[in-house]
Amino acid sequence: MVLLAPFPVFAEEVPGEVTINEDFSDDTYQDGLTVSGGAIYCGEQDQYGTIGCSLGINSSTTFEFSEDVYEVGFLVGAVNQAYSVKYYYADGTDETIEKSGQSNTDFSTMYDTFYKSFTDYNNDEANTDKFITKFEVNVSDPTVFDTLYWQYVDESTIPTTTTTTTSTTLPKAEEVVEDGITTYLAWDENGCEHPNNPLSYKQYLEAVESGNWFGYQPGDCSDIPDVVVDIIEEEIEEEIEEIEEGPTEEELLELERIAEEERIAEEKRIQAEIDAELEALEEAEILAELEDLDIPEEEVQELVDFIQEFEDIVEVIEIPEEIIEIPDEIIIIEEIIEEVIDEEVDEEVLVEPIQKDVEEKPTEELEEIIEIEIIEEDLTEEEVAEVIEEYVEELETEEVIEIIEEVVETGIDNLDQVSEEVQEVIQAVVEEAIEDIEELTEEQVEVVAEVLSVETDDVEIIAEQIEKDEVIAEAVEEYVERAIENKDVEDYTFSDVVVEVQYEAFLENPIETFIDLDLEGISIDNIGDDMTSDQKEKAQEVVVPVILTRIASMSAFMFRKSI
Amino acid sequence: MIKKIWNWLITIIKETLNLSWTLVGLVIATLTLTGSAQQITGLATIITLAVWLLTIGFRK
Repeated sequence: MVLLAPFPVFAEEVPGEVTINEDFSDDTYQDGLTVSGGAIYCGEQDQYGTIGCSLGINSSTTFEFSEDVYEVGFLVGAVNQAYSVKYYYADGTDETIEKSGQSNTDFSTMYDTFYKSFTDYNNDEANTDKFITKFEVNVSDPTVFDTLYWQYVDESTIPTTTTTTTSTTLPKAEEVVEDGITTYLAWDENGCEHPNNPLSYKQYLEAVESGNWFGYQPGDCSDIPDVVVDIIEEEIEEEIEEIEEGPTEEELLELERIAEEERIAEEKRIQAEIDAELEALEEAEILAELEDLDIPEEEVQELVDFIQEFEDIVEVIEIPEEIIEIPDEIIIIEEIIEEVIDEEVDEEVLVEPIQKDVEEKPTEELEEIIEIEIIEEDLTEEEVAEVIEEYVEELETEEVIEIIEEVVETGIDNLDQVSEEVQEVIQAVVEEAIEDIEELTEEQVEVVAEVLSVETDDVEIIAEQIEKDEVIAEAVEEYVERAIENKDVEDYTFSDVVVEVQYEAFLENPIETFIDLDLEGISIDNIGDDMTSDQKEKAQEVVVPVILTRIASMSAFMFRKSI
Repeated sequence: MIKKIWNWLITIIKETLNLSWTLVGLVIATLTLTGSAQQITGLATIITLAVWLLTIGFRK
């Protein structure tokens, strides 16, 4: 993304070129810029790609230039709705760029960069000069605007160039200080370029003073042209510009897309190889088990296929309720197997290994991943908590997600099979993941959401509410523990933990629950925005029956009174 | 004066008891909500109950 940012080009590409940067650090803008609205916003500094403060806008805003600007760049961030940018040109034409709303899954990448340049166009003598007089950012929701720069030519700073001989117009090389800026070109009398082009001004003067090199010489390296002093040569300038700018946004996106496709294809290929190897291995194992039995060859193959299919199904099953059903299915399998092998197969040979795999696999892997130091029995609870806290703090984000993924795979209902310390580690890991939600990718947030049994968008809401609401913070802290305790409850989610914690707080101090109000920042528009969708559903399940019951009781009362 | 206040206290206790089931429902609803919705519902419940009790005479 750094490459895509509209960093100003500081090298002087065009004689007399001036680059102006506006960082919106205060409400005094640079000369030559007029902004129709907005206000300096320092509430979310260095967020949404901005640097320091930015310009906050929430409606159509025009940025007008007083100079003949031929290049602008800027950043627009935190836009939830579709928006557009319209450029107005000096020749009376205009151009509109439509953009869709930006994804808010990661605030650090929630911005678009804009770059419009007519440098190359204007440098071509065949074209009429084209300039940007103003541009308009059309947004409909709170937006940040930052890192604006623009370029134009200040004619007064362009040194006078002549077509007379160099000896009469240029200073002596020894009088000039080496500045290291290599933008000068020299040719020999046949129109051949100097081998060290581009040259600094001092190098250029030295070359000219040698009498072998001159300013621009038209021709194909064989003609003998007149001596002309020409400072900038267009093609070299374009090359320099390309090197400075790097690949365009489109090129970068294309490269990223190709790399992603190649990665996915490679992953699929490796997965296919692994699957094939596993299948072959499984087949060999089953054949070895059936080797001693007297079964016809065709039936053996059928039996092998059937067992493989059955094992695949067992691997997919992760829901404990279904695991409980497995023994029934196994009995059915036993019956089928018995029929096939004419009652010669021992049940234990076929059934027990499968059942064992299903029950032992999940928690074993989880405990392998959580490589916490052995906690001695004589440690106090505080010491154990300290060890766990240190362990979790040292985990990288990827490790945190790996553990959560394994928890999802294992099923939170099966966590009662792991040790209490591992449960506490999992709890701390879940807390850690929610606290560092901004560092997680969309896929990682999905994994966290799966553990909490909430929607992906709800994870962000929970992370925000932790800081504001003690009940939510406590619910996050105790989620894993309570989920394990309530593993038999159907559809037990994070919202259930929140309700439980709130009821406990109410029973502990009923009055405080109702009088401890903080109405700051609450408006009619955003009531309920800080609730997860699951919580809203649960509230509806309660509030609607309450209202209906009240209406029914009132009706009954009125009816009784009228009789 | 004391008798008046006593009578009024008895009346508001009666009225509150009449509203028992409704209040239970509203408390449950409040505890099921979180964030701003919970705050607004809790506040609305208290204010409405207060207004209800203060306007007993007027409603009669």
